[in-house]
Amino acid sequence: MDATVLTSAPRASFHHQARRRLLAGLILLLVLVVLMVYALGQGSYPLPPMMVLEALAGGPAATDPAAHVIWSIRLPRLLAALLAGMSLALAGAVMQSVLRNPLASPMTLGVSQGAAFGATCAIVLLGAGELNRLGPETVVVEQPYLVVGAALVGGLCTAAAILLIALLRQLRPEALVLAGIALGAFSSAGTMLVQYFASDTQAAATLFWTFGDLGKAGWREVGWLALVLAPLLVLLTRTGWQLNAMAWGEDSARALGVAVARLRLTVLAAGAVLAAVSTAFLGVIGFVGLIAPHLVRLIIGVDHRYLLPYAALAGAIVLLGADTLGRLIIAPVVLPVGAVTAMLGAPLLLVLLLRRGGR
Amino acid sequence: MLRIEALSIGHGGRTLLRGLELELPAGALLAVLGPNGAGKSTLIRTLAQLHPPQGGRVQLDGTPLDRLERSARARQVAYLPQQSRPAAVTVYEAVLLGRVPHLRWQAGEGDLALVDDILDHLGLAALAARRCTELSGGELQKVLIGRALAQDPRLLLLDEPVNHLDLANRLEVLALVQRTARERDLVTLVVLHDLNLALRFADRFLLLDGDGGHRTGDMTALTPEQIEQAYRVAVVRGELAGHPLFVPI
Repeated sequence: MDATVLTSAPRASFHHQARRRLLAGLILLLVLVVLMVYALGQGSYPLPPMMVLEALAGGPAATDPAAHVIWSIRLPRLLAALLAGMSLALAGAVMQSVLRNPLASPMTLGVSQGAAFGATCAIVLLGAGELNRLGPETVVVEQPYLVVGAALVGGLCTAAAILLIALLRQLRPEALVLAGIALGAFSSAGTMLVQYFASDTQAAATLFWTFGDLGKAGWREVGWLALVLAPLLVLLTRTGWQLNAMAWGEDSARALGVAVARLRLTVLAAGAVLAAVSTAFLGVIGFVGLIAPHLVRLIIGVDHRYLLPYAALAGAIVLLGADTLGRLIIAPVVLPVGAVTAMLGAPLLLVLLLRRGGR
Repeated sequence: MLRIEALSIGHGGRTLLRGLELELPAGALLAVLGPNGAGKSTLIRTLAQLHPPQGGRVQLDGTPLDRLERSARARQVAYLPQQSRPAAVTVYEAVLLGRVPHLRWQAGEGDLALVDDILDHLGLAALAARRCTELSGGELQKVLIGRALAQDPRLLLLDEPVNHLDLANRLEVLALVQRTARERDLVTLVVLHDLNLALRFADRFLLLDGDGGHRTGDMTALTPEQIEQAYRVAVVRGELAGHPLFVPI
């Protein structure tokens, strides 16, 4: 008798829920791995899954063509998609939570556009590079670090402006998205103005930042993205309980011992860094940061201890899927991934909205 | 034991309460009364350290509350805001959230056992897996009280916990608060609009008049004159079916 009483204790439902969430995480991970192997095999030099795995196991030093294609061309692009997808989705998830607005994302807060504006300024005004159409993929950015640095500054300045507005005017967090939209529009207009006065080759180079493209990614970019993402993923996931408390309102969270203002500031800053870094290296990629967290909420609910890492996984899946689609759909032409995510993301968002009955 | 000394509170330059002196033993339930805008919520928020006082000291079991670090304070003081928009989490998760000030990273078996106990105590065990967004107002209020209890506090601050509940739920929730305060030896402050509910469930009252003044005493000592002075409504005190009550005239 007491055994049945114990298993039917309320906590049984909690354990059951935890198991279902772990299972959902494993499924997400499995989908990602399958997608990775598939994506590595696709392209102008197709490889069956077994050869992909062999080339991966053989290491980067192997000399056969499969190893070269995998290790020098496809793997850095794939890892960049993975890391940028994770960064943007994580940024979107935490922005949505601390601003309590389901529309918050790196794009709607203007952080991505700010980064693109920064890169454009560096290319045109500081003469950091130009695009020479010698071949299909010849980009000459003479000072890549200047461009990336300027993009970072642009993205972080936008985030700082939003935070400053929030602190000075005591704006309701919900209203901050409006400030973000205004700043994003300002950055976009600035980008257009600077492009208008640029030479043709410079304008072509700036285009690479106004629509995101994973073709820019090499091992160096992958390294930087990973270096930024890893600590912030841990830091943000550790705030899971506090973000759960925030879901009930600021006073409830404060009463539970959460330093609300500090949490909002650090989490938004971390999200801005994630979004700015991936935009700085790869250009503006929209909708991943908006869609991926919503997908995960549909699957596992709003417990941030799971939501944040799972949103990162979902972001990786969405961006890698979009990039693979963009590489294959009218091959050999490779579509910029930023355009593909927007084309896929907009209808997906509408479906989500309709399914949730407008809530 | 809650000890309040020379506490003054205000809102936007206006002083709502001047020089409050109050001692409340553990297990006592104090009804905070007064007209709209008299500062009842501000007082509760001040005690929860969510609003800075204009002056004075508040001690709980000899410890000044404003000296406590956030989590330590949240282990001593639980506060229920006037309105809570439910999050889309289960009842169990919502109550478990009260353990946050006690947690590092994972909820241990001890935390889960405590939540089980509380859900049983509140009669919510059957709803454990239900989403809070699907609860009725009375159920949600009980869940929030459950979260406050999960904090394992010494001081319980409830801001209008029964305001938008129907009659049955008002009686049930307040009976629950009363029983819990006594069983767990909590100092409990409840903001109430309904004087007759206060008469029924509270041990003591604190009546704010909105001009900085206040009256306090045993619930049985609350007089029609004090009420008329604070609310500007004439009342008489009577008794019906063994329950004292005030009726406006």
